[in-house]
Amino acid sequence: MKQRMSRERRADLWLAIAMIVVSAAVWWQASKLAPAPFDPLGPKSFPMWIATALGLLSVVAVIIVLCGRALGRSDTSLILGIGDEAPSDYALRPGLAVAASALTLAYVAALTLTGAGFLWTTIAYIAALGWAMSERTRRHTLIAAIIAVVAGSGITYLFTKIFVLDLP
Amino acid sequence: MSLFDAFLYLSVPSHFLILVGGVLLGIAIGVMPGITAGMLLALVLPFTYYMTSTNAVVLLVSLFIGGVSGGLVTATLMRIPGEPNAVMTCLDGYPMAKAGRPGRALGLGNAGSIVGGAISWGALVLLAPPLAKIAVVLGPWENFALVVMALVLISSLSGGSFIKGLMAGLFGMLIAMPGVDETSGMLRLNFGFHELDGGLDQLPVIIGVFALSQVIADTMHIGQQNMEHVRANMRGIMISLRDYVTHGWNMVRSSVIGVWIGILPGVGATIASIIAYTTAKNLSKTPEMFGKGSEEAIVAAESANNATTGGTLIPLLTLGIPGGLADSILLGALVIHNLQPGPLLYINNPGIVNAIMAAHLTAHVVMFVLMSVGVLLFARLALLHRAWIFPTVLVFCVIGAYALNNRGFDVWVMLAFGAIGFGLEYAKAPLAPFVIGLVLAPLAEKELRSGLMSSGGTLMPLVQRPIALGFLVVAVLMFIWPLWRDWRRRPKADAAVS
Repeated sequence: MKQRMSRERRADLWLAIAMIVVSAAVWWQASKLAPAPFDPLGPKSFPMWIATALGLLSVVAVIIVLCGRALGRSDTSLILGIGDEAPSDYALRPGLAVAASALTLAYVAALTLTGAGFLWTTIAYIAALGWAMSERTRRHTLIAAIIAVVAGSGITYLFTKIFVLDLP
Repeated sequence: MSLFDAFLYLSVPSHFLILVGGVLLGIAIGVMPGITAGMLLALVLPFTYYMTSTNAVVLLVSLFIGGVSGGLVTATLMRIPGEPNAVMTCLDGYPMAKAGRPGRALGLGNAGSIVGGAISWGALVLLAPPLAKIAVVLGPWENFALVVMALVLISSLSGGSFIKGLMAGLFGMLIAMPGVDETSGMLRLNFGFHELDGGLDQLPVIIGVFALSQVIADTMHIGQQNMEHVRANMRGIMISLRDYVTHGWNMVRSSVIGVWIGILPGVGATIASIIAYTTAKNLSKTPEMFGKGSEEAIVAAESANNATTGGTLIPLLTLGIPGGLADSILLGALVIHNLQPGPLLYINNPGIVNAIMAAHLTAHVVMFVLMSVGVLLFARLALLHRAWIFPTVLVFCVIGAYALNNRGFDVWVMLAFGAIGFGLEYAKAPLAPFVIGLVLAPLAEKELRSGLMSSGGTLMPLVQRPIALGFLVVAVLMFIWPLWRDWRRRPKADAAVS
């Protein structure tokens, strides 16, 4: 019977494929550059070497995974909690993480692609995200709204009046 | 500015306030599970642009020290590492706190932290200047070989998977390639997007990878904060001189481990505390107490993780090679302020080097005092609902990415790299080589091209110059060693499976 690939090996395979695509794209773009006079290496060689090394390494990784082995896992994680097994003492909330990402995407789109002002967009964003992450009781809804107004106005004041920065 | 002058500089109230504010904010962030010191540094970095370079490094160093130390509180009271490096402290800090001695557990951890910090400061002051004197004579070939060695070293030491470490490092290097080629002035790898003409700024990439992806990961774990916790109290928070004597050798040994692990690029405080903990257990007269509230264990873990702070600064100040994430960001800060990291920093800007050293020790002392008197307040911060913090942190991510160039495009870059960081971490690829690759690629290319121009296009000086050859030999050995280790392990693993 055909055995299913483990989650770890599937992730390894996708990582290697993504790296092959990136290295191929960089190699192709770099190869179109003209050589520079007086410079033995020129602007294209170094990116092409790195892309070649990454591409070859990724092909080796694909072969290792397809031969039935995983690539191993980093034990010096700098970001906690991604890809961990489900804990026994509380429930993971991947749906909430997706919602937070979607809201952040919408917030950035509103700030950079539309004329929506920073203050009101930020207040709406903090309120919506805070509410989504909270326990969604009436009390928490009120707290989320208050924090949104205070943080939104505070940040706007801080960066426009004190740091004199342009905000998106 | 001499080292003494740097301490005097920090005694000026406004400068001291920056340092205290940095340590306070660092501890507060370190206490909160999920918000890491690296993330805080990435977020604060764009705003240091508006400060003098000395104040900027003072702020960043104090944030770093505070952040590394704050994880102790959450680890002890909630069994959650507020910072990844506090994971070993959880194993014994929490059982001791649960047995009715939370103050004692925090006091021991705090004592270990100050001793670890002080010893690592001593190592930094003693080792960095002579190393910088040696490093300043290195030419382009040696510098190129050094970067190659650092990348291979970090990939092989960052644990688990060598091949993934190398892939992450090379990927980081490629991310640094687009934009105007400095040597020829030609535009490259913009893929038809004019926004890429200036290249990908490091800052949005770092904020995306370390801050955005961490918040999204923490959102998945938001239910964790409703877990059981121990109430903090002050009883036993100040440990006696006798305790320092009893645990003295353990503190020194663990600190030395921390310093040396810190010097190795990318290995970091987590591994240092694991090694110090294991060593303390192996040498202990009561190893059976480890995991059940052992005093030795808490002291070992905390001494080691604070000792890495000085160790990681040594390669940064002497060679321009960051030892870890915090140093990569510190390196970014130096670049933003038009300071050249590496041995030339000693010659051109000795004041900055001395400010970093003075801030390192002063921040440890301030941290010790703040942790001793403010632990109850910090313990309350750990219980703050993440829903009230994360949205504001995400707004800071957006402003931080935007602020440096006032470009909406950088915010999109930050979002994209948030997703990429999440993906890399999901695939368990180490992120440290990615950052080091990103930061060091321009240096590697510049040095190689400068060497080739002076040698008429031949690579032979790489093997003809003894120091460059030495670095390359180490790189080759570090390349072969993990492969050989995996090859040796495989028959045993296969036998175990069959």
